[in-house]
Amino acid sequence: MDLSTLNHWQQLALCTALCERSMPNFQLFCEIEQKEDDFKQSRKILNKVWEFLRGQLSSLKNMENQLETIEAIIPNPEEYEHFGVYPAMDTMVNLQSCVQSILDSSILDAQNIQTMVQERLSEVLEMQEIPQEESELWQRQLEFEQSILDIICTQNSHANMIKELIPLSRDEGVSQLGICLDD
Amino acid sequence: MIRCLGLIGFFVCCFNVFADDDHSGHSDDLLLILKDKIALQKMMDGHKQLNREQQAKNLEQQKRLFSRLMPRLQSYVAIPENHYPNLEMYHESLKSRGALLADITRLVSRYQTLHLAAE
Repeated sequence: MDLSTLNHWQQLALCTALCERSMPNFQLFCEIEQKEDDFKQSRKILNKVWEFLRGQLSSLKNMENQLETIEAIIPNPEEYEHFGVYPAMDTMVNLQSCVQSILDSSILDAQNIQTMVQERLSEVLEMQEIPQEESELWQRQLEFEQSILDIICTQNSHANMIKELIPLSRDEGVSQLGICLDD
Repeated sequence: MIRCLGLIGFFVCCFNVFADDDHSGHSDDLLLILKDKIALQKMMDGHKQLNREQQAKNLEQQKRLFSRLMPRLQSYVAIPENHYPNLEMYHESLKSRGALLADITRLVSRYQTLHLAAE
């Protein structure tokens, strides 16, 4: 599907769903690096983005401060020596894009975010020497993206769509890379 | 069901895998371009509210960001088809390249407007 045909709300909803699904990657990074507060802050900000999408965010004033907060917690790959910093950074850059998109409706990053998520997964599969066509994770990601698009392209109220999107995106706590910390 | 714990182990193992490697996949280029693009948009959005001195500093920061972003963009848009595992991913990447080029052209044009206004 050509994501540029989606409107601002739809693009933001797609990016938010992709961000939600990748949160366990950031959570793992935070656990490894003992940055639990960073994870809590990012969780709160992502909840605010969902609130905005539901039409329940009363004021946008605070969102500018949230941008500063995210900027401070985006990990710098030069400071870490393990691969996990990249998926963690992907998640936070996606979140940053979502918040900025709330503040500036001309920002439409769905295509770039989707490509970034797919390329990261492809890279992880390559590292594990698993062909894409044989990967359950890859198949699951494609199905996930299609399910999100099916929901956001229906003629439903925003609130109802978000009600469906959140549990789907949390995917029982499993990220697109297969990371799961809730067990 | 996906084996989550195995992948956590995989991630943790990568601590050492990349300790001595220069890890620079093309997904990282896209990530870093997006990060810089967001930073530039934020600087441009805030430019109006600044005093003259701060505006000059803001423009200087924008210039530095552009000089980091442009070579990275150039390298990202030049990634050949054979770097992708299949045609679908290459196609997705081309769509992303188009979207990025459109966004960054807008930012360059905005930067130029701000720069001219400051002169």
